[in-house]
Amino acid sequence: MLEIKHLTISFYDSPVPDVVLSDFSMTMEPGEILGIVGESGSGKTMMALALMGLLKKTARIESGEILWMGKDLLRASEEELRSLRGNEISMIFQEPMTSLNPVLPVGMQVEESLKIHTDMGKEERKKKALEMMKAAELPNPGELYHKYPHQLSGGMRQRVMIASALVLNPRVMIADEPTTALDVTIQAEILKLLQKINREKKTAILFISHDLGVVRKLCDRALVMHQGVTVEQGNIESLFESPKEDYTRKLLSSIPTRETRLRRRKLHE
Amino acid sequence: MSDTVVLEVRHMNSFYKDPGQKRQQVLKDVSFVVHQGEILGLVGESGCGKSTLSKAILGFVKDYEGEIIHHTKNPQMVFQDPFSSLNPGKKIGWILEEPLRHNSRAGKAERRQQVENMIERVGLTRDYLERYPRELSGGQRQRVSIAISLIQGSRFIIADEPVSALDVTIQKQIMELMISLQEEMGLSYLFISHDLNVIYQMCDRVIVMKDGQIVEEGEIEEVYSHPKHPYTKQLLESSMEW
Repeated sequence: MLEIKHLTISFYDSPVPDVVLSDFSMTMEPGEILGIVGESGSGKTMMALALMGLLKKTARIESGEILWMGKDLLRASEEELRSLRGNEISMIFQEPMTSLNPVLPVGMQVEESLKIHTDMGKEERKKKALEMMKAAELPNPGELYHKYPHQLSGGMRQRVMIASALVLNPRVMIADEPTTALDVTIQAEILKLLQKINREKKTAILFISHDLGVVRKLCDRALVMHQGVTVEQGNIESLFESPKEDYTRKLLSSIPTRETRLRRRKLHE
Repeated sequence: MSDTVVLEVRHMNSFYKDPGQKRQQVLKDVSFVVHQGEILGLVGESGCGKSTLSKAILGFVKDYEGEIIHHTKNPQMVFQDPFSSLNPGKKIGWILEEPLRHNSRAGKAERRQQVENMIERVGLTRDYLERYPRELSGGQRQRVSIAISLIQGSRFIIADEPVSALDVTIQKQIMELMISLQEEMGLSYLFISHDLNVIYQMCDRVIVMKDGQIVEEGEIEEVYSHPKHPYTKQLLESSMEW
């Protein structure tokens, strides 16, 4: 469905161009949850932004192809890309507050893509928006429809983002650190919701995260990235049970778990 | 753990008021002690009052009732984002020497010696003293802020989410550094985090806060294996599940 081949991206912010993604390749199958794991500066977000055609102006794609159903997005017109975003591929971010319009009721924002991409009438759009808000497990969609983003909690705002990302029933949703800014109890709810959406609507999810624990439980396959390069990829079990590369092992051994403690000292010594 | 206490907080109630709004209670009857040489964890979700508590301990909250009794001199704080507390226009050496310039009687050569010793203690080489904060990575900056907190001889550190902004590999290094400094120098920490696994890795005891109240307190293994309060159970389950 989606294939990226030998993608290299550089930033031209300084006199010496900075390679942020180097010879990156991946494929994504319909309905799967693919994890992209890496620390800051690994290139994981740049890859997603390239996919959405949202790279900043100082970024240049040096080489490679992004194939959607065999069609190269890097050579697609702005119009083709616009129709693809929303209709086929949508994206949610870490901080919903920055992508939501602060002066527009959230219901209007959920139905915005319908306005742009479909010829649905007003009533029909509202009905669809309420339906999506319900699917995103927002309480009292009818009431919430008229509220503004600042009146919602972080978890509810992320649900609104998810509702608006799904309103056109895309085949892929890119989720870039969607739960990183949330409290642990809310994070668990949002992840469960993503899992449910994937199961029920068969929406494939490209899940970008620094959190290996979450990736392990949510994803079918994952790619480990480091400094713009793919270090290792594979299905979740083999990646976590028998990592081949040193960096993957280091990453895995750094996750704070409840199996071992760094603090060895006994109390009452 | 010794019986010596470095900090006592007794029946602390704190209040907050926005202009034109009603006065609201943030902390509700919070009492606890930090023992000499222990790492006490404070865990809770956003808005539970953990940051207010750390500010109150250092005297930044004026509207409160109850008692805060320090048994050590000069408690210091380490923050989540060291970049905002490091002067961008000065080199690390200057920044690290600054507290000594104001509060110590040591001469120039002696101050320099203390600065050089301290930068090495936190795992950086002396050439970092000649660099600017922007030239350092997040982990290196956190090392510098730990050095600043210790340079005046403080033995009690309040660390508010000190590893939350760091990548996991760096996070582990900073946690290891804090533990080894604790052991070498006999420090005491109040270690604040939203991350239950980080708390488990680091701390001897833990306090769980919700809505401005302490809902549970105990030794780490005990609380994690036999949580008593439903909220502690919910927190542990949510983070276990994912």
